[in-house]
Amino acid sequence: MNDKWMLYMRGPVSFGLGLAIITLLARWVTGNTILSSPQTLIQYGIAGSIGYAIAGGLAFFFLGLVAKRVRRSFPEAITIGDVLKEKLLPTYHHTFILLLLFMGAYALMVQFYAAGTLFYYVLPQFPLIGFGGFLLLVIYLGGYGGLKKLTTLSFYSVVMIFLTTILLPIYSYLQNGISPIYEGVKLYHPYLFFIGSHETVWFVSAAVIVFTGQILTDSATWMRIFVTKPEKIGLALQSTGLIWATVPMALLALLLFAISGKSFDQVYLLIQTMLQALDASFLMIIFVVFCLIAMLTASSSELHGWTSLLIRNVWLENSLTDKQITRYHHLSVWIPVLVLFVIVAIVLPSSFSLLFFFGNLYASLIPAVMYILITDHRTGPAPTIIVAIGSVIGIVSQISLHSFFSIWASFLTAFLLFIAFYLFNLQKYKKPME
Amino acid sequence: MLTIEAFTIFIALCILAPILGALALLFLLAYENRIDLLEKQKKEMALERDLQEALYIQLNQEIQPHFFFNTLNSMLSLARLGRKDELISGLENFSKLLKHKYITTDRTLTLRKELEYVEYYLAIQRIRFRERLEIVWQTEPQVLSALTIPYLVQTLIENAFKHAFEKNIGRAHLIISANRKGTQVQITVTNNLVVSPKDKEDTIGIGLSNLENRLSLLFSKDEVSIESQINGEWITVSISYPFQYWEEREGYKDEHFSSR
Repeated sequence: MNDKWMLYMRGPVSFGLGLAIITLLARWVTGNTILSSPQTLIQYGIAGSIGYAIAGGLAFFFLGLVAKRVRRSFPEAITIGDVLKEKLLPTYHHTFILLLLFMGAYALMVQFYAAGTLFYYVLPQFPLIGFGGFLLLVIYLGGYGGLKKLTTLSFYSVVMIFLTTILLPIYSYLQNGISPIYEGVKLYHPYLFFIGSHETVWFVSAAVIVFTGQILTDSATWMRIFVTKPEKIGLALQSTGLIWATVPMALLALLLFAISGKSFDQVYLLIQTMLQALDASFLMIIFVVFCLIAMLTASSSELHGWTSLLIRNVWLENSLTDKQITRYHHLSVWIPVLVLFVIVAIVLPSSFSLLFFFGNLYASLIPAVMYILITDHRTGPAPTIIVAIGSVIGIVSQISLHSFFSIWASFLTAFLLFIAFYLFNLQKYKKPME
Repeated sequence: MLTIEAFTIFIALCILAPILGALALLFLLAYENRIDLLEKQKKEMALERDLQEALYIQLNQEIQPHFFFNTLNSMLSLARLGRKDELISGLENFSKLLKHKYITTDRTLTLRKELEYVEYYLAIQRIRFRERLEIVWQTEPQVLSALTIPYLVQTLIENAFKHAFEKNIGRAHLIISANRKGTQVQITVTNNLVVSPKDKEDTIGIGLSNLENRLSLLFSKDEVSIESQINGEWITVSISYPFQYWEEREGYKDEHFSSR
């Protein structure tokens, strides 16, 4: 393979524990984390927000268990596509890669929505100009910068994450005192303090599934896993899970301070309320810079993972010339960004639900990806078909069930189908893979 | 309903958690290299200790007067018969072998190097055993750059001579193979003339457990396997461990070995 593409995809160094945590943390403290925290708090109260943080952390723990084995079994892999190529028969591995590309494009859209929402409040006069500039930076860093530039950016992102999650809550609570904030929230939003709702339990259990599905199918995360030293992966992912969970918790403390003693119009306007609550301008600047750099790093990493999957597992496999691959690379960077820019500009962020969109698909993908990664034999169309069945059953069940139950329905359907499929083929797969 | 006390504790947690996270990360960034270095030094010391033990076993078991005098007698016979070329070649191999035995201090080496020393040893044994000895090599070229530990193959071969060929009469067959199987290197030595139960026990004895200990210092235990299979008077010993390229001496200081 050309060194240029190798450098773009996996950078010049292997990650140790510290670097792996930094890049994974920067990848997963996203616009979604920042914007869905208010939504979670309002809909499921403090208990739901704590559950949301724990669910994210658990997903990393879970990935830590799987990633260690995959990293050792596929020491030369660069993308998750390389593993799929080994474990799926040729036609079906392309189908699965297409599915991952689709999910990647959707995840990118969620990031862009979060960024678009922020620009609506930071630059109310020229939101699209600000958003356009943001996308150009994403293209520069994620589309052309490669893993080296993204690692440098991750350092700044993590510094801003800690600066914001440490400084802002301390300042807010020291200045106003815990008791007045508690009384203010109790007066205007007493429902937030209610603990013990069954819906919250279902929300948290569904969140564990959706987060795990998102992390397990994320190309950018796997690329970071494949450049991390094998012996460090388990601890790196578990530490990332622990540290990541502190971010929604700190944002929750900040949100409670922001809505104390006042009401708000709509959930998606909470970010504006939060900005207004930070009366010192330097705090406001810190918060905005934190949001921007976190969204920029996450979006760029996402675009980098998406483009790398295309280059490594689609273009490079079709014996194209370097010139052709370069042309396709430009197209794969610019086209999705431009299309998503138009979608975000047309459809208002308020009409978009950031939580658990495509949850059924993610839930069905967990057993499929796990089956592919853990079993020793090559599989045909079964994973793709079972993912489709699981998703459809989940979506159809939404007619009579709550969306959280439908996520469980998708997960359990796919899980049981895989067990049946495995048992059915047990005799056939007793011989090891050639 | 959340009380003010519970709320206070909760907010304290929300504030403290990121501080602890940041401190943990800072600690890791500052001390990760030192922790790695300490671990590496610990492993190297353990490897060194085991190498010394292996050398001791080798010197005690193989460079014994028996082998030494037999070799010298074979050389003497060559000199008496006037087979000068064979004598020179034999002395040369004997000198290289002794040199390797006495000065090896490397904790790891390439499989190519290890097999080279095995060949010196076999060349001497060929002088002694002549047409009684039949050797079959089955090595894949791509596996020769793999990292290995000193005396890995040598121990298996010396076991074959010590516990089978030197004890029992008959044609001596030795099959040496080294292959890459997926992410693993597999080294197999098969020989015949393992007649008594004691021969079998001795062939898979202390030397193999030393090899397993040394390999486990380089790789995790579940990735290393040493298996022996006895079929009549034939015995096959297979060693499997992860394939990794051996780095040059300069790189060795920073990166002990690497997988690509």
